[in-house]
Formats: sequence, structure tokens, C-alpha cells
Amino acid sequence: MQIEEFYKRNTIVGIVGNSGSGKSTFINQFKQSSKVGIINFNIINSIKVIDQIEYYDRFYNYKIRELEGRREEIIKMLEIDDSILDNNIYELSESELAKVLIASVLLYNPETIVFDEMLDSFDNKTKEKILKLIIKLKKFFKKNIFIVTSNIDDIYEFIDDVIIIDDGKVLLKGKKTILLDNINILTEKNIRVPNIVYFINKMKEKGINLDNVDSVNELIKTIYREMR
Amino acid sequence: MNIIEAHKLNYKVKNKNIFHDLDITIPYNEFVTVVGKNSVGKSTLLKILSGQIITDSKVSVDNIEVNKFNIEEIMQRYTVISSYNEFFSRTVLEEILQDKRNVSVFEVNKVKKLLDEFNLLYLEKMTVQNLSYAENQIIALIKAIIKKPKLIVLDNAFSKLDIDKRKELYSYLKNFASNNGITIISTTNNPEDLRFSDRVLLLKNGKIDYDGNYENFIKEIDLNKEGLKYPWEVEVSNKLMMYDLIDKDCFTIEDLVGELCK
Repeated sequence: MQIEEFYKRNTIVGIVGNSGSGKSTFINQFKQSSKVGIINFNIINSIKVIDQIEYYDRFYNYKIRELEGRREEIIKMLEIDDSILDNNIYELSESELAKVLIASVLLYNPETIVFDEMLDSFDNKTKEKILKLIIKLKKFFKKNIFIVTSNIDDIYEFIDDVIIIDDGKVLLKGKKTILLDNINILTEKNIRVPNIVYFINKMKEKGINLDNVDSVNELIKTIYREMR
Repeated sequence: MNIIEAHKLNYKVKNKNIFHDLDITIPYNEFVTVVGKNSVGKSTLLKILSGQIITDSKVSVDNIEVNKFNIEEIMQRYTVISSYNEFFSRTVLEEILQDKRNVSVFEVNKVKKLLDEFNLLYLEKMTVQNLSYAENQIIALIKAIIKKPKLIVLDNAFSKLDIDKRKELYSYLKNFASNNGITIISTTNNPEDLRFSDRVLLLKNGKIDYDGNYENFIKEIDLNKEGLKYPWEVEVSNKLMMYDLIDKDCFTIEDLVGELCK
């Protein structure tokens, strides 16, 4: 399956599957280029934090003159503490390192961005801030974004489409609503569905038809409407 | 008797004090988890408490006061599983046995038995470069337990694994530690992982802001304020109760459905 057929502007795609299902193997089809930015812990290539942040921009772009302004903007957007800029990479905490790696790719502004297992390095508050930032990248900058994770519950609300990997192959792909439609196949293969999808299905089994919503707040509203 | 004692712990990173007169004692065989916001110092604290980092403060591990002369002696007492564990041997078997020469059949069989417990017997001769992340973490776990150390340090060890795998590995470790008199100190960002701990420490502003068990932690602390998230079932249960749609706390999806459909 050619990876290019999954590219869609203005879309956030979740690439999910159980641990060991072959997500990394699937993602390895993506190659870092001026148009595709892959963010994971394998892209560490500098010792100093500031060198890591600027590395890809210097490599792919020629607009060195504007570099500092854009760099400051991204550091602020990701809430990276100025004090760590002088540090060496190995002195950072895991969450600081993850932010630096994200910055190094956002800086050179590729059209397609892949967040490969990055979100688990953050506490919940920071995770949500990063996901909201990703939504901005999609809406205002029309990027094509892929988020790879073993924990679909963390991202379900924020994604548009989903690609389910099982046993090294693409099992399902499409809008995220297909998870509810295919819950039987997924359960059979022991693939975890988001809690909200599992819950809506269980209610359906009891004869109560809730809307196929993606957030807790929407869920409470649809339950209230049905069960009042 | 305490396996770890830290007295008036202070530690500076680049001229910033990240701990302020911290006092911690951890009894033998306890499973303790440290939680707190990003970059508050959780991993650093675990490293100091296990003797990986030496400070000017008084820290004892297994009744030995940590100093720069007894690093190797202290290293015999603990093993570490981090979020990224790099391997340098050729095969999985060699990595677990730490490239020991003249390995006995008995030791090889011990490794095979452990691999089999995780359905990973097929990995025995696999090169370490070809492991998936989950396989890599399980091999790191086997490597960490095979010598039955007195202390195991889990530094965000399983955060990147899916929730079912995490549950499986924490259960296994808790059981193993219980049966072999091993102490575990860990850190995580996922509140579901705390179920396996005997004790939760909340690290905040350089101090221990909470020290107690998991049930009370969930009740007394506003998790959202501390960078954590309530388990999904608890969040939904609380909101449904707010709207009078259910009238008791639910902890599983089955319970929620049951209560709503009464």
C-alpha cells in the first residue's frame, strides 16, 4: 500500500493498533523529506538543544534570515522553557525532549507531519495542549497530520480519520465513525476500541440508540436526551 | 526496616533547586509510585533514591549510605526499566544473560521459561535490532527481574504501551515482586497504573505534597490540577451523577450501562 494514498490536506489521521501490531513498520514507509516531517525519538541528531531545533530547517530551507523569528514563535507555541535552550539533549527530561523534537520539525514547515508515539511523553494537561496545537496546524495551516499511538482513547476526540493496523497490515481505514460500525471485527481480533465507542455499543445492545459522538461532554448530552 | 532513606534531600540542576529538604523512607517490599507534572523531577528523584545520581544529601540504599566510592556496590542492588532501553548484544538471549560466557543450561532454561510466560519464546535467537517496541520493553523487563534484585526502578517504563499490555506487565511485576521480596519504585503519567501501587507520592514544587494509598489519592486530590486525568469511567460516572442520570459511583463500563438501564 503506497503511503501517499493516505495523504489528505486538512485532516488528522490516527494510526492505531495494539502494541506490537506493526505500526512502526507501517510508518517506516514514510521518509523524512522537505514535504514530510516525521517526529519520533529516532530523529535526535544533535548534542545541543538549539542545534537540534534548527537542524532540519537549516537542512531543508534556505530562509536562514527569518530563522530566529520563526524559532522564537515555535518555542513559545510549544511552551518550551527558554532556560533549556543552552542545555545538551541528554540533560532534558522526557517531556522537554519530546517538545524539542516537535519544534525541530514544525520549524521547517513540511506539508505532512507525523507524530510517531510522541504524546505518551506528556502529562495530561500538556498532551491536550499539544493536541489543540495539532488542530490549529490542520485548520489554519491546512496540514496533513498523522498521529501514531497505542492509546486511541487519548486522541479519538481530536482525529478525523483512522487507520487500524493489525498483524503488520491495514485492517480498516476511513472516518473514525467506522470503529463503531466494525466493533465486532475489532473485538474478535482483540483490538481495543475507544471507551466511548465500547460504551455506545453496549448501550445499543440494550436497545438504547445514542449518537455516535466522540467526546465525554457530547456523550452526556446524548444520554440525557435518550434517557430523561 | 527501610530499603531507601533520604534525609533533607536538596538537589540543584543548573543552579535551580528542584528538591527542598525532602525526607523519604521506603520500607522493603513496598511498591511506590511518584506522580507529578512534566519536568517536576520525578525521574531525577527515582535516580537519586536508587543511587544512580549522587548528591550532597544523605541517601541510603539497602542500609548503605550512597557516596562516590560505592557506586558499583549499590548497582548490585537495583535494575532499571526506562521508556527507552537500548540493547547492545547480538541476540535476545545474549542480551538477557548480559553477554555472560560459560552460561549453564540451567540459566538458559530460566530465560526460555520467562520468555515463554510472555509468549515470546520465538524471540530467543532474534537480533535485538528487530524487536518491536513492546517486545523490547518486555525483554528489558525480563532482564531486570532475572537476577532478582532488591530494587526495581520503573522510569516511565510502560507509558507508550497500550492499556491492556500495561496492565499485564504491572500485574506481573507486582506479583513477582511480592513473591520475591522486591521493592519497586516507579513513575507514570497514567492514573490507571497507580492501582498496582501500595503508595503514591505526589511531587510538587520540590516537595512531597501527598503521601498515601491510591484510593485516598483519587478521593483527596484533584487529578486535573496535577496534570493527571481521571480514568474515563470515573469521569463519565461523575458527570452522569451531576445530572442525576445515575445515583452511584461506577468504575467499569458494564457498571455504567447497568446503572443507566435500571
